[in-house]
Parts: sequence; C-alpha cells; structure tokens
Amino acid sequence: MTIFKAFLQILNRNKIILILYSVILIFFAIFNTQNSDIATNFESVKPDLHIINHDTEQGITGSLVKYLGEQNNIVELAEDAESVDDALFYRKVNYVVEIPGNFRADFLAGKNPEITTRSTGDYNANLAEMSLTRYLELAKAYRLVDDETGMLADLEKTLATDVEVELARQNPVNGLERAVFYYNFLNYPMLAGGIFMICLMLLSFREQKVARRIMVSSTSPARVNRILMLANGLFMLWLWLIYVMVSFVIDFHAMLSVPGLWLVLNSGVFTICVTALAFLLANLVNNRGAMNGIVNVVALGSSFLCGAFVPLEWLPDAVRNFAHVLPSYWYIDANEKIGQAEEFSWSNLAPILANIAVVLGFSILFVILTNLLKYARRREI
Amino acid sequence: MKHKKNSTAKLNVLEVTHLTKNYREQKAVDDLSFAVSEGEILGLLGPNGSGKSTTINCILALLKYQQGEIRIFGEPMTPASYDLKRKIGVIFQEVAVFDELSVYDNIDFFCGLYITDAAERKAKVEKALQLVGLTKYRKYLPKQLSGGLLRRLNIACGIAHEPELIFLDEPTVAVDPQSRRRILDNIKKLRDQGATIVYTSHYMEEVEELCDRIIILDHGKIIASGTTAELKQLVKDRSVKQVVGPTLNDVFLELTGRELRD
Ligand SMILES: Nc1ncnc2c1ncn2[C@@H]1O[C@H](COP(=O)(O)OP(=O)(O)O)[C@@H](O)[C@H]1O
Ligand SMILES: [Mg+2]
Repeated sequence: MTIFKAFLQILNRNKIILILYSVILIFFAIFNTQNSDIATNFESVKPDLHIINHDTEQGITGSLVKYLGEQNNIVELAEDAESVDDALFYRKVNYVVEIPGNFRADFLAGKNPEITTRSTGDYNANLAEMSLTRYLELAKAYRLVDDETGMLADLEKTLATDVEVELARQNPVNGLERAVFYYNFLNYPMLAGGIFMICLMLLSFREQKVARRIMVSSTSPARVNRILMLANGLFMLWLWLIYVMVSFVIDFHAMLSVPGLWLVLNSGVFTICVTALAFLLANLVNNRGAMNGIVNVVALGSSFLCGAFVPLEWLPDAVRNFAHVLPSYWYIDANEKIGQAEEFSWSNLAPILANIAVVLGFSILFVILTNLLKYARRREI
Repeated sequence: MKHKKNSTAKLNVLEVTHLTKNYREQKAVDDLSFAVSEGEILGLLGPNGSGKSTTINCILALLKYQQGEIRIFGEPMTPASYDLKRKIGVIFQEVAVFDELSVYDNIDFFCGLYITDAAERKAKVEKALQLVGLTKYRKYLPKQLSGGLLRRLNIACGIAHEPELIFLDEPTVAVDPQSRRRILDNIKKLRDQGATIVYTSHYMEEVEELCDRIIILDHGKIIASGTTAELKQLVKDRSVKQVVGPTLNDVFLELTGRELRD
C-alpha cells in the first residue's frame, strides 16, 4: 500500500528526532542506575550508633538496647568523652544514645527519664533517631495498659512487623526503583515522539494542496484517513514496544516481576492516551512551526509539572495540585504507587487501577474533543 | 489529427450546464455552460480572479455550487464518483507534493491512489518520469529541484495513472521559458496519446498555440468562445480600424475595454 509506504518514508526522514528523545531517556536511565548503585548498599543505609548504658538492669532497658542494635550498626568506643567527640566528628558514628542509670525504674514508675542523644545531624543520624523515638513512643503507649512483661511482649510483636516495613523501605533502591524512574522519565520521549510524529504525518497528508489531490483521486479520503489512523496506531504500538524492550534490557529481573509488569501495563495505557492526545493536537495545529512549539510545551511542560524528571515530593504543593489536570500526573503517580506497593493485594491495587482508569478517561475525553472539533469544522464550510 | 475531425459526431467528455457558484455575496462563476469533446484541448482564458480555478474545482466536485449540472463521460460528477475519478487527472495551480518523498516516490504515491497493482504502477511511473524528463532526478527530493523541474514533477504526479481527461490549472505560472516550452510540449504529447484536456491560463500566446477551442472568461461569465481563428474574425468584423491581424489580447480588449493581463 503506497500510503503505508509514504508513511514509513516520512517516518524514516524524521527518525533522528525520535532517536534523540530515546537517547536522552536511555542516558538518564543509565546515569540514574549508577547513582542508585551507591545507595543500594544496604550496610551504608544502616546508621552507625553508639550506646552508653548507665542502667544495669535488664527488662525495658535490655529490650531497648536490643532493638537499637537490630536497627543500627552498633559501634563500640572507649568510654571517655573525647573519643565520643572524635567519633562523631569523623563520622565513625552517626548517633550516640546515653541511657541514664535509673531508666528502667523511672520509666516503669510512669516518669519519662531523659535519654541524652548526640547526632551528626545527617540522614543516617535521623534514621537512628527515628528508631529510638519509635521505640519510646510505643513503650509509653503500652505502659498505660499493661505491666512490664505484657508491655515487652506487645512491643516486640509490633516492632517485629515494623522491622519488615523498615527493611522494605530501606532496601528498595534496587532494580524496581530504577525501573520506576525509567518509566516516569518515559513520559517525556513518549509524549514528544508521539505528538511530533502523529502531527507531522497528519499535517503532511492533510496539507491543503496534497489533500486536494487525494480528494480528486479514485481513493476515498475516508479510506486514506483510516489507513493513516491505523499506521499512526501501529507506530505508537511499535514505539511503546521498543521502550518496554529497552527497560527489560536495562534490568531484566526487575521488569520480569509483578510490579515490573504493572509498570508495563501502566505505560501501555498511557501510550493510548498519548495517541489520543496527539490526534487532538494534530487537529489544532496547522503548520510545522506551531507543531514544534506544541511538542515542547506539552512534553517538557507536563514532564516538569508531573514529576517525570524530579520526584513529585520535591515540587511545591501548588504545582502538584495543578498537575492533577494532566494525564501524565496520574500515569507517574501510578508508577510511584507500583514502586511502593509491598504486595499486590486488592487494597494496594485499587488506587493503581484508579489512576489507570483516570488515564483511560483522559483518552476518551481526547477522542470526544477531536470529534467535536472535526464536527465543528465541517459545519463551518 | 484527431482534433481536426468533426466534433459533433463525438461523445462529449465533459458537459457543464448553467454552472453558478457564489462565495457568500460574490458571484465567482455565473451561469456557465460549455462542453468538451473527446481528444480536444479546451482553453479557459481569463485574467486573475475571472473564475477559472473555481470552475475547475466545481467540475471536480471539490466545491459545492448553487446551480448547474456537471456530467463527465455522460455521468453526473459527485464527490463519490470514484469510477469517474479514476479516468481523471488534475494538475493544480500550486505544486502539491510531499517534501519528504523523492521524485519517484511522490509520483508512485499519487499514482497509487488510482492504481493498486504494483507492477502496473511501476511501469506507469517510469513512463511519467520519461514524459516530463525527470528520469535522471528520480532520487532527488522536491527541495533539491529548481522551480521548473518542480512544476514538471507536479505534472507527472497528476498524469502518471494515464487519465483520459486531464485538467491543468495554470501549470506555467512563474516558470522560466525553457521549462514552459517543455511543459507545453508535454501537454501536446498527452493530447497525442488520446487524452482530452482542459487548460486554464491567462497567457494568450499559450492558449493560442495549444488549444483547439478557447473560452474567454471574465467575472465568471463567458464573453466569447470559439477557435482562435473564429475569435480573431469576431474582432475584425466589429472593428474596421484593425489593420494588422489581431491577437487574443485585442479580442479581450475589444470585448471588455481592458487588457487581459492587468
Ligand atoms: N475561497 C474563496 N472565498 C471567497 N472568494 C473566493 C474564494 N476563492 C476565489 N474567490 C473569488 O472568486 C473569484 C474567482 O476566483 P478564481 O476562481 O480563483 O479565479 P482565477 O482562477 O481565474 O484566477 C475571485 O474574485 C476570487 O476573489
Ligand atoms: Mg486560478
């Protein structure tokens, strides 16, 4: 079919644009990989902690020391003030906890004995402090309802489930997180490449002069249009498959997992949405200059606003709230949710599916708008 | 030669009766009637804005019109007359090709809108390349061609499927003399191959050289029609002052009181 052939030739002449967008994506994906490899080291995430324990009793004191030991790397130091100072200064430890001599007795008596702490103030020190605070707050809560034995049993149970969460949260700077980054970033090349190509194709074929030639020919314009739609659809499918394949090449194991496959599905639905949006925009622009402008505004704009390049949490609330009106937001948010879900139970899946449904909703909206626009145009003539 | 035969015995390839087309208030074509018989080259001559392109676009069912009837090969022409359209070739005033496609691929694409069989199409595209003399340039992109070559590509795209009825709307506007010569020769070749041709222009010399019959249009109306000789005779009869043989421009001046190319 010569229409397909012409489509492929136009695609071929403009392939450099697609290659450029893809190279940016792959470059950042690999760049990000190296970054996260450093953080992947689990040991380095565990804070270094030194405990000075003046309480000779066990019970709650022993339990606290044991818990802190599980959550942190315990570093032994000489018991003089100077070596503690040095250790903090040289970051041999991130956090120092000093338990007073009467801790158990006072705590059980309902008082809140002061635990002295010193910190390097960095991220690891905060992690260590979090483990201490969590233990103490929980202990205070259970103290109200139980004696020491019951309290310790409850604490142990609660903290044991807590530990898993904690590990899961510290651990995941792994393939999956990288995959989430890749699929978030995909927002940009997918939008830019998709809108550029579809607009270019439709502009080329609908350009007044060429369109007139098609209209006087013995092929019906409706048929040419159908073939063009099909060709554009196949092109988007191809583009999506290429990007999915690249993600598998970058990290096969992370992708061949339940969350990995959810990422693929999510991006597939997003691709449908991009296709619908591109058809709408192609009906709005009527020259190549406007087309290039729109590609940049839509692809770059939504990538910045919706957290494709930097995490959403870094963006101001106003920006994040505004981003809700863009399909990219829901796509990227779904990626994040997939990355954070520990298991794919219904309660975890529901919000992800809700996001995917919103993206599908946007697609339907775009299709309706495109048809309304065409209808309005036809009536104008 | 075909066109010298008695035209009344022949089938009318194109029949336009009482065609009227308004753009809102303005009359672009005003109650136009004419017929073109097989193998003939009909010239539509008129200054810019006289309604030549509008007439062609109405005939091709690209424009809706208020009144009139158009028959091609005896059948009414509508936007969905695909069997009729297969026999028609059109070369518009503006060059209409794909920037991204080579000379060959452009002709192949437009020919492909009429002819689906690949082998048949290949032969026709080669023939068209040869006719307009672009065989050497088959791999060139449109932007690498000069204005004259581009015009020839434009013609090749319109006639590669070997239509029986060809419309050319001012194909020589802004073309250098050599290319114009070449284009006129191409049109004669098409006529010799048996095509019926409707040719519009505002250059009287071209129409005089090329056309069997001429219709002079002004403000969407026919102000005179006939062979070149008949038109010149018309002026001679009306104006006794004429000493030297009149040109078509004199005809136009005589009938409207102004120059053709104003
Ligand atoms: N799309 C249009 N809308 C309104 N008026 C038009 C349009 N196209 C042509 N016209 C007018 O119709 C008349 C005939 O134009 P046209 O057929 O293009 O003349 P020609 O081809 O002989 O130069 C002109 O007066 C022109 O201004
Ligand atoms: Mg014109």
